[in-house]
Amino acid sequence: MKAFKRFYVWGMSTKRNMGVYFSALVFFCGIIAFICGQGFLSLLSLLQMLLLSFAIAALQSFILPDGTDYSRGVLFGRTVAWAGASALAIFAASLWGGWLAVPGWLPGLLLGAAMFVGLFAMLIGEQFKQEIETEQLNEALRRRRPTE
Amino acid sequence: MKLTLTRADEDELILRCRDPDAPHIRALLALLGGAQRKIPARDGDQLRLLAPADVLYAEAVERHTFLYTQDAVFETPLTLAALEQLSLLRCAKSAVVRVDAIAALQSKGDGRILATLKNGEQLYISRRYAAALRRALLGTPSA
Repeated sequence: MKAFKRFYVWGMSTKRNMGVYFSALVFFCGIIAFICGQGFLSLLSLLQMLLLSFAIAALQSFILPDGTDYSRGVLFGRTVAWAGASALAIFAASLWGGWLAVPGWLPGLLLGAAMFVGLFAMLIGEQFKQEIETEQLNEALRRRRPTE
Repeated sequence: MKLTLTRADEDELILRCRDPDAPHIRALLALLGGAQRKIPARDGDQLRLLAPADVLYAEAVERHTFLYTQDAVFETPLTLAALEQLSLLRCAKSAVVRVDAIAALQSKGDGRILATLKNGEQLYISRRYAAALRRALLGTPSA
């Protein structure tokens, strides 16, 4: 039962991230498709994006689980590795699945690059959150000791 | 128990007992310490009364409670719950810390907070108790 609960909680967290990444993929794909004169994304492509988003979220849960301490240089190690691997997978999947009905590898590369920046930016936010709280806590400590 | 009270030039309390760990002796020490807002601390064969401001943090290990000051460690008959009444904050299941003894804090990703004390020691404030620290410092329990 304990293992089931852990799996369930893991699933909830992973699906939440999957939703964010899926939205981002659809958004960037939509923009690139629109710029290239394409007015739709096929249902099969959307399904592939959803599955890939789940895989990216699952990978994140192993490499950068909830509660990762970003104060120890994790940001420029595991984060780059995870975002890079995800961007590469997106590039490859967009070519293989024909998400963008435009010939050539450039649109897929643009999509991969946009997602890399987006994924990285998300995790920078986590580091900022920790840094902001650290500043607030230390400022509150200083206010308790006005004579020091 | 025999009680003897004599007049002297200064206040001094000498407690002679067969067993310093006897429950009624520990209760008496706790009462004496509480009355003066001091913490009874065993220093070898002697008993001292420490001001809460002298204590950096305290830890419970195998039914014994130890007080950590700037440069010494004492055992105390008080429990962690009793120390919390003397303005020490619970930071883990078996530790309390004096907030004013903390030199710096660092937020960790899993809800924990790393506290660096004035003597350089570091304590992790667990997620469960970090909310109380945030409430004490920031007025809000969440990050």
